[in-house]
Amino acid sequence: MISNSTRRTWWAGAAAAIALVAAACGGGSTSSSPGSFKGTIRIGYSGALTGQSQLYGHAISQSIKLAADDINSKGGINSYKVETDVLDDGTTVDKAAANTRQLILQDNVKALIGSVNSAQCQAESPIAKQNKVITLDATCNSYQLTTEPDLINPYWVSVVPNTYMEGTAAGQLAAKTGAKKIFVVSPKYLFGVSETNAFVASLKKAAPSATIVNAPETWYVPYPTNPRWDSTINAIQAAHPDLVYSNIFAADQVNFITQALQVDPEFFKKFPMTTLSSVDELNTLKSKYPLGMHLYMRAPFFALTNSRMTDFVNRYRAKYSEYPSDWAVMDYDAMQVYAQAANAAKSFDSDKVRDQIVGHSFSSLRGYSFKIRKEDQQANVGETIGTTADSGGKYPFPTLSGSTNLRGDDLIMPTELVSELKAGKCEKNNDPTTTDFALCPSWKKG
Amino acid sequence: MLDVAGLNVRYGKSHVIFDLELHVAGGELLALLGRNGAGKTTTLMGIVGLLPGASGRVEVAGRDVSRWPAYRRARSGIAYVPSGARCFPNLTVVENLEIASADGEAGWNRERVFELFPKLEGLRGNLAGGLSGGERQMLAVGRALMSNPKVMLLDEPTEGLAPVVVHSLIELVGQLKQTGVAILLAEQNHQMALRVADRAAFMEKGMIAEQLPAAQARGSEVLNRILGI
Amino acid sequence: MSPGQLLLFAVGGLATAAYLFIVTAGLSLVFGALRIINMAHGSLYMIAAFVTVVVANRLGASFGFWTGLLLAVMLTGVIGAVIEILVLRRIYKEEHLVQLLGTYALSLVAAGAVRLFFGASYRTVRPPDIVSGSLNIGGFRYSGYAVFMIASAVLIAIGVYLLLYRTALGRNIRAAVSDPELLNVSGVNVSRLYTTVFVIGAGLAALGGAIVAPSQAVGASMDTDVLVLAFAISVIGGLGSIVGTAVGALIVGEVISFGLNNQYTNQFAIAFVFIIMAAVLTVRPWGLFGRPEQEL
Repeated sequence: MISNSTRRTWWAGAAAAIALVAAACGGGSTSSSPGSFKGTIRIGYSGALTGQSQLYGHAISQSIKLAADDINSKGGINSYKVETDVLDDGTTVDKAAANTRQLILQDNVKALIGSVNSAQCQAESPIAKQNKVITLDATCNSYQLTTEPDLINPYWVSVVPNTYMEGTAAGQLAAKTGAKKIFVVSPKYLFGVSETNAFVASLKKAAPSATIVNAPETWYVPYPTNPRWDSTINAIQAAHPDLVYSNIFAADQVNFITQALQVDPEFFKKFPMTTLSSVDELNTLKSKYPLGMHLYMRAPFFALTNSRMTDFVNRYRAKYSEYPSDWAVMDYDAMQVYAQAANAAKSFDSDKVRDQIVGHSFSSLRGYSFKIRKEDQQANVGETIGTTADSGGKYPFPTLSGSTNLRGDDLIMPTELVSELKAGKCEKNNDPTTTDFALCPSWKKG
Repeated sequence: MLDVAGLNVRYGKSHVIFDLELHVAGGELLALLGRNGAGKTTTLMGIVGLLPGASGRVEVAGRDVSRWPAYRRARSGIAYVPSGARCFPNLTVVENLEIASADGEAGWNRERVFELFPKLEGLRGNLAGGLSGGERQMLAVGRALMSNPKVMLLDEPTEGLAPVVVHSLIELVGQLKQTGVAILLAEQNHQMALRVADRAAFMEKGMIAEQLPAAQARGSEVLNRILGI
Repeated sequence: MSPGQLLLFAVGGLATAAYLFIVTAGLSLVFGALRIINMAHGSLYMIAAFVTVVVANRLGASFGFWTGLLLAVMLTGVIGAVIEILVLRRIYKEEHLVQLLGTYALSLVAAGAVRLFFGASYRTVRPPDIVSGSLNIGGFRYSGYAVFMIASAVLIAIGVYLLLYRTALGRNIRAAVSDPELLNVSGVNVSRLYTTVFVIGAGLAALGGAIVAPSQAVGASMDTDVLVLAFAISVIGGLGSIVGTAVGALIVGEVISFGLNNQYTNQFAIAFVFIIMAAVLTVRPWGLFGRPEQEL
């Protein structure tokens, strides 16, 4: 009686465990009285309200609701009231794809907000494209989403600095530290590989004498990973680098930092780190977030001071009793892009709205206007770099000292590269899975 | 000592035991005889409280236990030795004995069980799963004795055992009744059973067809009819 | 690899193994005795982690942590008893699929409740002072808290072993694994035994959650973070075997620790865990240290 029934049981257990990981938990939408609107339209978001990136999904779902309220208080879009339609995807790809289908086919959303991670967006984009639904993407950022022939989607608009821009910024940041021995750690999926490759390519140009001490095969950790980081922490100790480059994020970054500090309170002094980060990680670890970390951040409110931002932060805090993260800022902008463009188009038709997005400029909470260029429908949004330091009691978490807001125009991928990527000229042995901008003829030349 | 009246057992819609009545006095051995499927095992399980579909009155030493769950009936003095020499295979011999251990007038304890079954003592630390069929049956009986029962229900204790083992086991069951315990012995091996029984109850289709003193039962017409000899 | 590095990675593997073991021990115990795959095990673990963090942060790291741990174990034990009595009792006789759905439903309820009470943000807590230091061995640093976790795992393993093999309760639990009906007619209240086992399993989950809390972000998804690896460990080690759970956790911990850092095995490190699991299922479906059930 053992074998079969027990084996079945355990397989069922394993299957159910996986199902649990992929589970959904209801949805939500804003609601208030319709007033003088002609009707209601919905903007959909499949968000990581649970799972590895729940920090981000939580912030985004809050900020798009705030954006919808702001849009409605100014008359809505084409006199229609805007509602957000948020479904939890548990930070999984399958659920994100299923949610996207549901949002489009059942909930009839007029536009989508891009999900948290690139693997999810990779699955969502073809569905949105097939149904001609515009996606305003402000979080997942692999440049492949807008340049890879198989993935290119005319209805996909990126208002987040992509992995090329971010990796390039990180490479320059690392080069500036003068580090010679660099250790790389990154999550093993589209985003991590894309951003790490951009970092390495940029580092090679900016600091040709720097070497990466761990073998390329060991740069990546499984994503989502098991919450213990002993393996990576010890590999860093054994390799003794003078800089660690990471683009691990959310719960992974929190766990990695927590456990590294338990190994050695001086860990990040001995092994300084350049990493992607956001207000969410800072705010989670608060005073436990190490000082002296070299961060690159997409839209930290405290570094992008301007009156609109201040107003946004105050209202966001009043409504949610939290500081808005980078994701909250960018997705608020994404909602405004759609509202402005659809109002200008006087229509919800995706082609007409897109014509009002591509080639147009939009003001941003980030204190500057950004423009969405036509080559890859990427906005020339910037990136903030700096080193963590005590905020002097201003915030419950460290902020950046000597922060620099890099300009999007200085980071954005040259259009020559975009066209080479789109033409499939940047791969090894005609194998599209090897596509990498560092293989493009114009990159090699320059 | 054991008084059963109006025992009925239903499995879903099918009615399998009908108004059964049995009385076994202390120190008496009643053999429950019948073919395969006559309802012997079901009767025993109904008495010990393992069947949710059983109804009727079960008394042990004059105390009504019919509403009690099986473990409480066991503690009230019913020891059940199911067929197949069932033991806890992943427990040692000693653990198997101690699991049912309870104080009682008969004074059974580990030492006395080992006196009765010297062979078990040598195997005390072994897992029961590794014992031979005969050894396991000794262990099963030993475990029942450890509870110092007032009533013992034995289901086919000789099944699958070598003839010489069957012989000594039946002798032993005969001796046990001298300690004052009431024994209900369900058996297919009627010859063996009738050698030590005081009375015999013949079961057919879930009913008691006839009850006879053992001496009269041997070679009786009902024996031939019911067991088809 | 130098001897110093070898030790470093071996201990790193032990830390991962310790974490996985304390999470899996209760799961395995409950499966062994009740034949129930408790999908809500992770929920109990998560609730305990939250309770520990909240109490510890309120009362101050050192005293607060131990108080939080105690409260977490007690609260989770009570929740365990309620779950066993109200839900599990009704599904023991059902098919495994029904049991899975039942405990899975519980995990959803727990996840919703945790989100309601504790919100979406992560919480962190510093380890208590006594175990917050770090050691220097051969030029490498070792986390005092990881050593504490390893020690806790060893103590829990010994504790569970002694409970199972040196007490009457443990003997009854093992007996229930092989033949609950026979145990029942031997005068043991099997229903109450099951409640006790489930409460112990819940307590172990709580101990795991409380001990893990200072070493990682405590958030509303930590219930599922570990479940897949926990199942892999149970399968490799053997159903319901505490020794097997320990060995399974060790194998998984060390495979991850060494595997991820070698350029030839990095790609396969996690896959290898599941390859081992599949191999064990094929050759020895009851696991390395489990025992096949008897045909009754």
